[in-house]
Amino acid sequence: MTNFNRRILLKGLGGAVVAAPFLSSLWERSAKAQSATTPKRTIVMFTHYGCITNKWFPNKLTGELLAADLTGTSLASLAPYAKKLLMPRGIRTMNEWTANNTGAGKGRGQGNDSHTQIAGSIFTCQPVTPNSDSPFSFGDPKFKAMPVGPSLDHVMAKQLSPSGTPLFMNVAGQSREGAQSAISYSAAEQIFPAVNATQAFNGLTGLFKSGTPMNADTWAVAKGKAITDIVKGDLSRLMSKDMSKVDKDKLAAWMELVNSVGKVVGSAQCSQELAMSLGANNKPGSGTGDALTRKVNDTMDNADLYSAIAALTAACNANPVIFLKYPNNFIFSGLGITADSHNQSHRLSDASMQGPCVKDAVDNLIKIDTYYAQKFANLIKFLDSMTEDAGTVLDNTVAVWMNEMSDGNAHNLNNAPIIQAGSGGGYFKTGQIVNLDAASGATAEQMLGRSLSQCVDGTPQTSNGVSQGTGTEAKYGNAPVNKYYCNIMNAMGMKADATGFPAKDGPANEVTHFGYSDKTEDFAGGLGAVQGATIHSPGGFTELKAT
Amino acid sequence: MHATSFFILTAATLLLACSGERSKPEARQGDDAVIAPVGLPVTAHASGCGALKLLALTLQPESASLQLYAALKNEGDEPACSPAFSVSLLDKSAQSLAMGVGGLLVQRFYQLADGSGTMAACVAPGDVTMIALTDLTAEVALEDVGGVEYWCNFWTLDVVPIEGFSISEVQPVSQATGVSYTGALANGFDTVVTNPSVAVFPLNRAGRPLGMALGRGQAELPPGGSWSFETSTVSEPGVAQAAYPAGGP
Amino acid sequence: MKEKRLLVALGALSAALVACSSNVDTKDGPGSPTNPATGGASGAPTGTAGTTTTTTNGGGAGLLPPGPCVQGVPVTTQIPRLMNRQYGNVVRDLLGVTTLGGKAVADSLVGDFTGPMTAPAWQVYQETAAAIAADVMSGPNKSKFISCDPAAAGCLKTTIETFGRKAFRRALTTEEVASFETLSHTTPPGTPAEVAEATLNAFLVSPSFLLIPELNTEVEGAAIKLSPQEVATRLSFLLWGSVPDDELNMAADSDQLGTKDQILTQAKRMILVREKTGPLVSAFHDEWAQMNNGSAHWFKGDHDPAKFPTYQAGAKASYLKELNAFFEEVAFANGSFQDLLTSNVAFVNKDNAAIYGLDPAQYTDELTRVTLDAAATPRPGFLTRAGFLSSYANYGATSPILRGAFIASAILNVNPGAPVPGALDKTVEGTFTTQRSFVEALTEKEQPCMGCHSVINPFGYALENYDAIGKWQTTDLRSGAIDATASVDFGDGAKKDISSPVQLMEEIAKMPKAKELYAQAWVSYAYGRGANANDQCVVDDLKTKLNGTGYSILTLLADLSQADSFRLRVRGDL
Repeated sequence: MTNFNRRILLKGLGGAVVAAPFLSSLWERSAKAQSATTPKRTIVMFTHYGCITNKWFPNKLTGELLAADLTGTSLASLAPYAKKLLMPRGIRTMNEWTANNTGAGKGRGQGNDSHTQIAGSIFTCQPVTPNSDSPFSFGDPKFKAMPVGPSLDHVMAKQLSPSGTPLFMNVAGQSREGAQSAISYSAAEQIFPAVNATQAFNGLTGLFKSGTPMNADTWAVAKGKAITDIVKGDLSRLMSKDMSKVDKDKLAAWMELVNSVGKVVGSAQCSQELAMSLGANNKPGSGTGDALTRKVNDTMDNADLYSAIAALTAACNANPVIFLKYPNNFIFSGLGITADSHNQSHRLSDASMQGPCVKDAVDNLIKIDTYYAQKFANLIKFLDSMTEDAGTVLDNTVAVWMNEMSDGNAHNLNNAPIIQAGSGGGYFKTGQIVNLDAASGATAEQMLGRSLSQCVDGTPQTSNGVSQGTGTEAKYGNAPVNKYYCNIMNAMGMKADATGFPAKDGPANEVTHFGYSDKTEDFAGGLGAVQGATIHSPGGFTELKAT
Repeated sequence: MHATSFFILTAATLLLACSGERSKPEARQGDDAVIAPVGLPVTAHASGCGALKLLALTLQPESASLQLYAALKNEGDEPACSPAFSVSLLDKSAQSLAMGVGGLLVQRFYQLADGSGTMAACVAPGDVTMIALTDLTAEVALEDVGGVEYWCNFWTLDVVPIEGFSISEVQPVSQATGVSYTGALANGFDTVVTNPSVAVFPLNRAGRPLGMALGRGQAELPPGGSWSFETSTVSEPGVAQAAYPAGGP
Repeated sequence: MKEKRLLVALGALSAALVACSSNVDTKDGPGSPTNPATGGASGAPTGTAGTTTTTTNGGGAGLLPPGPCVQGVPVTTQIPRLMNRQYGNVVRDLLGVTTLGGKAVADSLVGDFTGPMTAPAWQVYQETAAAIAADVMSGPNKSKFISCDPAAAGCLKTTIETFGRKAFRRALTTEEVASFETLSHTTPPGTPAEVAEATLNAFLVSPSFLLIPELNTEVEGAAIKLSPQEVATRLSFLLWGSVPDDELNMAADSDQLGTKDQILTQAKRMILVREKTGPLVSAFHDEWAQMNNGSAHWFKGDHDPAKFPTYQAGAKASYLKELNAFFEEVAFANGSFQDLLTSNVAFVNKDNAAIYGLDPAQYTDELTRVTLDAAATPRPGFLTRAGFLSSYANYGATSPILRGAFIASAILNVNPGAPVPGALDKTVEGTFTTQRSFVEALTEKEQPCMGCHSVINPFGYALENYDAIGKWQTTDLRSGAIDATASVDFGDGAKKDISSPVQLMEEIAKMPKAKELYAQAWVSYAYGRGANANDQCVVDDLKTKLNGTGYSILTLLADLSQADSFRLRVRGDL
């Protein structure tokens, strides 16, 4: 029978996160009454080059999303958050590149460069220009083709953001990307530049509130943090010693507690303290290692710093539309990978996009997938660590991890790997996997895809990017992403015009249309080439909505 | 990331201008450098360009921004199809300043061997390919550049050669501000080509492209037809030039 | 303070053992059971080495599985955490702090447990550390932590090194010192005084402080040799439940703790530091006597003021202090196990004087050592002190069942188990002139009650001269004459006729089972962990010694430092 100090106000035992008493000044502040309309945010994390689908997806198409479903997959680090996750399955994004894309009526999209057109279309659902009907042809314009309309982040920010633009960050600090990888377009053919951590954070400091005199609070917080670091250093040194697994697990559990971010009163408390407790600042890590995995402190790497800034932005209500873009052509040297991430996605290590598989290709890709999942999990953790209303900031957020494609070698866009966290203020279901293309008749196994059909023991040891053999069969997983974007916009409370397209002044309260078309074949031949290109299935997915 | 040196000179495969009756500018005593500016660190990112070996690269300011020109050679024995060339300009502490990507220009054309009729533009084994990256993603001053990283992607496909474009009679023409080029572009495809274009790269003695002159037309070029082109002007004519079709069917 | 980790006697102590108690008159009956039998101290540590399943309750099988002892050094955890009583002692010894917010430091903490750190416990450690640091820095104890000006160059560093040596029970590494020095370089910075307080705060939450890590890797035979500092730490926690003093630290740092003899030398010195060993001895005996067992009756009940007008509910605190003083005195007078049960030393103040037949007006609040040697009213041992007698009684009458059950299970390890269902509703008709005859009629006339109660009750009958508040009586409240003779089964099958309390206690003290239980309790308490099969060898050794004459409690303590498991440890896959 344990004797609990009655001063403890806990929401439950067994690892319940408790505010570090060093931040006691935050405990003592009373929670301000939340306004009637609790702010909501959308945070999108975007990564390139697909994933090893067989390890990414759980072997389940519909039903409750359990931690056990994620254990053993590349998404294992998300398992603790299963109840707050939503996995929409069977979605396709637009403008898929194949070797047969030779014009209107042929193939599944334009015949430009695969990455250029996919990146250009993924958040715009618009074709790129100039068009190419020659998938293997040359021509500079292929790599410079840009979409003919704005991307989702800008469409949303126009209505929702104080500045009218999204917070668009490139996690590797690359400020400008070319059309081959850019995803944020403020208008037709207008690439929107990303900001880096320093710029993003500095943009927030003007919003920080100070409560009690700054000095008293911040020494307390700095002291608390320093003491926490001392404790963590001690734990680390102990953990490095030889001892039994049980002993090490005990230390690990303690470390986990120490690392937990305190539950802080939510968005009313946009402050330096909140920034410090999240680990958000304007100092990306410098030095050895790659720009993503380079550490900024014991528990965070550079990528996490960006996630912390995103969480801080959300909590401060500085911008309700936040996009976190991970870099293209990246070398994850910090994960022990020496090949460029694009080449690696083709299971190769050189410039050609077909050929003998490079050693450890699939293993390395799974490593990258796992790393990304951990980054998403950390983003979720930051968001979930801040209380807001009766829940957390995460509950009032739509956080989505989207990938450029499904399998990177096949460049296929059906069976898109999408995972969402947060219900957007109760709009979305959570704790669920929802099959949005049940009509295709695909089984869960078929929807694991065929990423392991090349370059794994027992399979062909040649990587073939043309055949799309590592993708999911094209007839499965084709529910259009446009509908999902409508769901997100509606969760955020956006207005639409009479035709259902987003419009700041309404009059409609629900967005039902987004983009040029919600059928990938309509993109073949470029803008206007396919007659009847339109939104064939307006509205969001009702299956994703909370009842 | 490993650095790859690539100081290789080969001029044998360049399309050299023939002297003709038109007035020819004085052959300048051009420099021999394969990299400009001299000493600029140019390294391959990850695996670099595979069979395509970088021959030479120029990074220079032109009208308030930086332009990059490169020449590569296919030293493998397979055609490198639909090749792309990417660069990342780095500052002195190896942070990315700007990026650029474009299609490498080719002179030979192929078809997929699967009977689909799908055309492919490829750098044949032994051929030299060139590129001009004129719209890097950011305005950068040359003195801020600490290095250039490059990489390529291309398809190695099962292809058969077909008749495509051919360029002939390329000649430099003196202009007030430099040099332009004239020549003829013939359409060897079996389809009509609209809005043909040609890119001509002036070269130094080491085969390094010093710039790019572009000729665009509005002609409709039927199969077998020919188009006489004249390009824009480049300030530095070099000692030779290489011409490529700049747009395809 | 509740300690759940100690495994002592498992006997069920409550009235619920009474299978046949009646609810007819709950005040005068054998006692309404307040807690159904659950046996002794729970909280057997799991996940730590050497724990066996018999450390849980019930069954009365004792601490360890039967069978021969297993020679060798037991597998132990390398990172045991300070128990709350140890934390309290450490803070007392290092910083002079004994109370926080009006209660004992140890009582501020979450109750002892051995699993991984939990959020509530960690929260409380942090709050307590901050409170202690603030208290120390603002009061007279400040110099115990820092004795130079924190703004002066080098002061903080020296303080970190000096205090750290004591707090971590070993010298800090350069890395560790630097880690603490980061407190001087925060943004924004604190004042030197704030930094000093933060430094103390940081020490008090450091794992190297809250844990007692054993990390030495030098091998000796099949085991790992503890470093001198680790031996010193074990020794000081054994004998004082606290950190080593400067002399012990010096002995460790000059490598004077390598052999058993060297350890014994220090042990003997330390044992004689009464102000530190005394509290540990008392605390142990409290534990052995089940005072920390939540199911026990100690100090829980009060008495009918109509029948016992001299009884004061507030006196219970004095009763406890008296027992602690008694235990300590017995030990430091070189007493043995037997003396615990037979010594007539008492500690008297105005609260308990009347119970012992003394004039309360002659006493103050202070406890005074008194020898209760009046022949007509013997007071042998702690079982005839006010605290026990009063706690193990009913509201308005004595309870031979409660007293008898306690002695049977807690001291003699005879545990009859839980009462049969319906036992508590049993009643008996008739007129009785003594409590004893009532209880006999209720519980010893038929089965199933008779089986247990014929064993349990006689111990209680032999104490019937002590009334419900512990005063000597010769006439029962029911008006009959007290009959305190009994035929007692001491657990070895043979019954003895007992005609006086002194005789009762002497016979109890002879029982091997009582000594075994006592030895096991010491081993477990002293080593701060559950006993295991390896420890049985130590227990056997102590038993043998206890069976001799004149084996003093303090010598037992010193002998505990002589086990191989004291100098060595074994790492296993727990």
